[in-house]
Amino acid sequence: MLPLFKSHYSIGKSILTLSPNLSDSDNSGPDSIIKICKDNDLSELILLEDQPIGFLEARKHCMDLDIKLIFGLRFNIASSFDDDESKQNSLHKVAVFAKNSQGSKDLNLLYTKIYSEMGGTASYKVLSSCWSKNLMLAIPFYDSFLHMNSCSFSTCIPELNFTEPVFFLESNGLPIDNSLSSIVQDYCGVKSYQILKSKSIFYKNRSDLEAFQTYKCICNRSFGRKQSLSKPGFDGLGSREFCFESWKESVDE
Amino acid sequence: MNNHLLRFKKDARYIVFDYETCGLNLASLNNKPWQLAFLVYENGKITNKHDYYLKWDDLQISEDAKRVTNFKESQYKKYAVDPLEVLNILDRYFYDDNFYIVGHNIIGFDIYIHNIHRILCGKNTDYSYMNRLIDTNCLAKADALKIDFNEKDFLLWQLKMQNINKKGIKTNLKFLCEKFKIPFDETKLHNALYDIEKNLDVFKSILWKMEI
Repeated sequence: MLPLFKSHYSIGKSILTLSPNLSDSDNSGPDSIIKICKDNDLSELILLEDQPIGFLEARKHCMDLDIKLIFGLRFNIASSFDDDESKQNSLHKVAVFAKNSQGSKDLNLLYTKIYSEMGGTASYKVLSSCWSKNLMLAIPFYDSFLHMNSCSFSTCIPELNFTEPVFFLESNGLPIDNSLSSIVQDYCGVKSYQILKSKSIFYKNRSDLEAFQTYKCICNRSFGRKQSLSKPGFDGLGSREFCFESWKESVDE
Repeated sequence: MNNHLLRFKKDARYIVFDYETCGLNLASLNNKPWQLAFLVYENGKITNKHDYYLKWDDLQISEDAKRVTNFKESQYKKYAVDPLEVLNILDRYFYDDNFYIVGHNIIGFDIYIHNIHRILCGKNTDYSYMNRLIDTNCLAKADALKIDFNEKDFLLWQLKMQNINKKGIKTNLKFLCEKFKIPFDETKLHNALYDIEKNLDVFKSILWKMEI
């Protein structure tokens, strides 16, 4: 099962840092992905971020500690740009990973194009025109076109013929997990796409859930919107399992 | 011709349930369920009613939540019982394939609370009952928006309904009782057992509006 880490550089999405501090003396601060990797003898770090700003820091620390870094970015993508409503109704997520150092540059160029020319929402046309053999397309388990088409009235039409995507399959103790797993497996069975079991990791232990939710409340604050731990209003965050502890238990079983 | 529809299945068995909790957090174990009410409806009759206060040593309920859920400390302390015993009674129905599980906004809330209840009692997450869920909130939304059930997967269709957030669509229990001309006493509307009895009446009315 692949551990898909996300760091605090994806603002509001994770409380894990990329700090190189490996000391055990101070346990009061935030948990570091680098330290988790080191403490658990992980030879590679899969970092799936929403923004590329943590890349250099992750790369430096991984090089220092001889950890192989696999870096990817998650993008918003729409399959229709006819008008705002159809764009909104076709919004979903894809993930793009760099396969090598040239892939990192290609990924950076792709990110720049999407955020400088397309307002942060990619299209399959742009994705395919910027595509290179140094990139890998992955379809996340949640918020993918399969998820959106199944659990909402979205109409997401993927165009995946420019590459061979892999599909992530997760199990995080959410009510929809079983149904969504079947949908992903059926789709990939028909299309002969590869499935990779994975787990999104946003905090270290289950007991860190409240810290994570608190951080999300802070990041989501806005006028007229009152969030608290007793009323967080996070759709989809109905499980404590998006953590390293849960991943470790799964692979140790 | 329409014998497959639930409204014609006189021998269908249902459990209608509702939790009262400390808050609205769907994952935190601090959001403890402090009351659980459920009733069993079989062969067109209510055959069993249950109403329990769940005893936790470290219940932390805010003043706001106390007000909204009508929490009375003295009653709670007097009547609260072992949550595991209650869970075992509920789960006999939950994990019995012969029962449909009915409730209002259960897909968006109560099934998560049931999971918290299980975890707090040392049990594993188990959503294997999902295909037997019937959420009257989802059905009420579909009825209000004139959306028919015309898909093959009822659960996924309900999830789609759950995810609709449209202004002006009222689906709360009080409104639905008024809409379906179900008599109700507003002063009792936050009494857990009373709520699920009214929920059952709403469900029976909606069954005649939806092709499920």
